[in-house]
Amino acid sequence: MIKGMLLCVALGFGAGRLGYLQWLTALSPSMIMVFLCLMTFIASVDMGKKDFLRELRHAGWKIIVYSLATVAGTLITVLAISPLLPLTAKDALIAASGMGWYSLATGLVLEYSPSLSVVTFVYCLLREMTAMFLMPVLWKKFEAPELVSIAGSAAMNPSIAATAVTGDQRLIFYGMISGSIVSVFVPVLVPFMISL
Amino acid sequence: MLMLLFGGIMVAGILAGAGFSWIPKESRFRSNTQNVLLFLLLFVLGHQLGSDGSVVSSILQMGGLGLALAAAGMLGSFLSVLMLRLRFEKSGKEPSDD
Repeated sequence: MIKGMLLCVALGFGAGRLGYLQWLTALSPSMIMVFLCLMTFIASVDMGKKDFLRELRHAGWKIIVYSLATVAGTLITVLAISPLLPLTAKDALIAASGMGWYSLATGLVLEYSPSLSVVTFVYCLLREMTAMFLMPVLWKKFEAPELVSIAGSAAMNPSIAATAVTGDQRLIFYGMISGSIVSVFVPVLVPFMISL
Repeated sequence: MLMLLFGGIMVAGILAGAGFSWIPKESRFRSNTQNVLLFLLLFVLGHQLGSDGSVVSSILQMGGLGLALAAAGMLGSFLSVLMLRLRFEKSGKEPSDD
């Protein structure tokens, strides 16, 4: 899947660089917005179908607090290191607000700054991919809540992969709930940070 | 405006999924549509970025920044949840210690 995604970006990038499909340049802002709206809706329907609200009630308040800590921890740390980077604090926070949801965050950031959308895409993709490798490695020393937080909103896929390796079913449970809660923040946080 | 739009779409989708029983729980159509939209979106995003000269000239630097932000974001969320869990465990043990 990740190979296919990278291939699509590379093909699009190459076509744009070589001047092919020029008509796409004028249409792309509207197309991106339509794609994002449709994808957000389908992802939310899936959340509703997976009994997200009931699971949330079952899981209790702690998992909600862990998810909030995931969002807050990400934003605070990124804000703290932003003076060391050639980025304004606002831009660092915008990219970090993507939390791992590369399709939505990259599309939302593109209109604000194409360069920052590249940062956002790399940030989100690396968060998911790194979590996939780190979760099984750290599993013996740490518990599911902090392991799942590494992936942010993209916790579901790394959790499934980590469960396949470790056999710890709690990772899927935490991954689904925490990933969904963090995902709810992304469509709101990214535009909010842009509007600051 | 975008915040309201996407927040609204998200709430509408969750409520539709939870409320409408005629929508199947697992749907190949939904997942295929999601994949096709994702690939189209990434192609269009790539095209937009490729046509922008300033992005092309700074792509390596942007990739490096993404890496730095990912490391910071993962570390921050990991440590904050770890500290919180340890605090919950400590406060959960306190009554039985008394």
